[in-house]
Amino acid sequence: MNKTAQKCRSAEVQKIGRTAAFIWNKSFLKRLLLCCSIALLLLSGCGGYKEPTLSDTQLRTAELNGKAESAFKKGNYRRALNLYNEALKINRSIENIDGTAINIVSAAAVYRKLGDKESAHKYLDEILNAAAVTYRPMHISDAAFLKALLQLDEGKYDSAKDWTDRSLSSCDNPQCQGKIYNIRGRIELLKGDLTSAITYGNKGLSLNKSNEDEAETANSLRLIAEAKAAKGEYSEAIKFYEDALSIDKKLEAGRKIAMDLMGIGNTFFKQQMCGDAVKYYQRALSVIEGLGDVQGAKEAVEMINKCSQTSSKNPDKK
Amino acid sequence: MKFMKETDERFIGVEKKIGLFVLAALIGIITVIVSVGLQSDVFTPKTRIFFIAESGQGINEGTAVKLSGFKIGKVKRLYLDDAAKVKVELSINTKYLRWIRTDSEARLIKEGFIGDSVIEITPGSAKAKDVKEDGIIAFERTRGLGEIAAELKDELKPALSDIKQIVAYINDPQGDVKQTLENLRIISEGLPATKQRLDALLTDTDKGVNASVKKIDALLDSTKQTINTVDGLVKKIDKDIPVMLERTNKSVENIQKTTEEIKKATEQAAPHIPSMIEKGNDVAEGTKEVVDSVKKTWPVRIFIKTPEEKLLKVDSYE
Repeated sequence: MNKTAQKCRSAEVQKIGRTAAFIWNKSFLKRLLLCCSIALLLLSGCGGYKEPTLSDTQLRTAELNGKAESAFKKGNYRRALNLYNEALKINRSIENIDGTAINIVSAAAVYRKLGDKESAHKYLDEILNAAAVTYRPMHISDAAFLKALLQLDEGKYDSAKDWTDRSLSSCDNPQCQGKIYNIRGRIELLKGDLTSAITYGNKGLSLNKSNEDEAETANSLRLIAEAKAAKGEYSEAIKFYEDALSIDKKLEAGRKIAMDLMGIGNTFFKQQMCGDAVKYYQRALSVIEGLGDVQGAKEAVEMINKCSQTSSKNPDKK
Repeated sequence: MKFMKETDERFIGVEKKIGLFVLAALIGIITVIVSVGLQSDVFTPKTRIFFIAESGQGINEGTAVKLSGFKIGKVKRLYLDDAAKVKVELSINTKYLRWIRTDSEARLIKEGFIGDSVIEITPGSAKAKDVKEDGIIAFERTRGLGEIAAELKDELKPALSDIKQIVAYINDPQGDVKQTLENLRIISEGLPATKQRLDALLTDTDKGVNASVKKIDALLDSTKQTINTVDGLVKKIDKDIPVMLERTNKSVENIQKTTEEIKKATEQAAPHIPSMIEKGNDVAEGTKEVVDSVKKTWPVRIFIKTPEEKLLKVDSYE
């Protein structure tokens, strides 16, 4: 019975195959099929997802915001600030809370870059101490994150820690958590708590990797490397620095590349391996000169000089 | 049984004795009363006059009233009138009343800076009439030591504060004055050395001047030659200039003609320019509308990202 059934099935399959080959061989049918497919494809566009249309004001603020970001990336901070403030003004005029929050935090970041910390704090306080308006938690988290960075710049580690806590409590998605753990780790590192710094660095690393945030992943790696170097775990530190370096090179982040190279140089220097250290310092110096960072170049040159002095005192340790 | 006999010698004429004693006592009492009364001017005829003051402060019943330093009466009574002002009744010895005229003024003064308050009445002018019973004279309150001191305090306080600030400013080691003095000290210390250098410089200058004089002589010779050359050139230019001027005139004429032609062309075109601009704007707007529409049309819209306001990315390691 089974054999008979199998034979019947194979006969049916062959019959279908033959019929398909007959249809395909007919050029008219081929064309018809092609036309139907194209028509179907075109019609599918009519019923597809249509993005919401923006009003003229929304388009204008989005345009200003985009231009501001572009100016910031080019290092034209004054222009960026003016554009963010203009976008902010328009958003305020139509009481667009999200747009207002975005432009406030962005303008505060620009103020920080310009060294006007007072204005940066003033802008952020508008979101963090808001009573009449309810901002979205993600914007509160961003404002608190920037506040933590400002406190870190001023060397107020405890206050910076409090702001990272607030940022974390308002952060309602894992995408913002990674960078918050990074900054928390940096605070612990600066305070000298190396174990906590590594713990936070690892937390950040795991989150940033899963979120595919490469810049923050490199930051986590650099943080762990710095903490390990400070702990005397030099070989591991160099490994982490090199991982961070490869990501930063991929991202073409000049300043970060220089930081990684300087970090590796410093790790070798701590081990009194001045020959290797100088190689990395020189590479870092080259990058820094390319960036036009006078202060950074000065630091690199100082380290090279130190290495030279150390080498001349201990000629055996190269 | 009686202890004493009525016929006792000691009681003979006792009534007369007592009578004389009582009489002497009465005469004594009356004398005292009269002398006290005379002392207190009780028997001196008095005239009642008034003055009205804003406040009764410092004026008491019994306060002496003086005229040219002589006591001529006293304050008998003071009370509030219907207008809540203080009506002061003065009891003036009638014999002194002739010096008090209708234009006399009562003043509340202190005898000395810290003495008792007295009412001083100024003698009136000869032209004015005498003050009669129940007459009213003017009153003026002079300032006491306390009031003067308070006024002085108010005036001196800001001045003292200024002086204090000036002294603090002068004493401030980082202030301009101290710094200037310090600079002056440094300059004065360096003066001897400067003098020496100036002396050396003057010696050098002296030598230099001699050398320069020689050079100037040579230069003058050279200048003479140059002037001769320039003279020749000027003569040549004198010949060439008329030709050049003629050419320039022709060029200017040509430019004028061209300018007039351009002016005419502009005048002809001017009325059309606003409408051209308007049309240009219309075309630009139309083009924008078309481009916007195309952007919103499938499948173009798939490839065009709708602009949106974005938060400026703040790195945890910046």
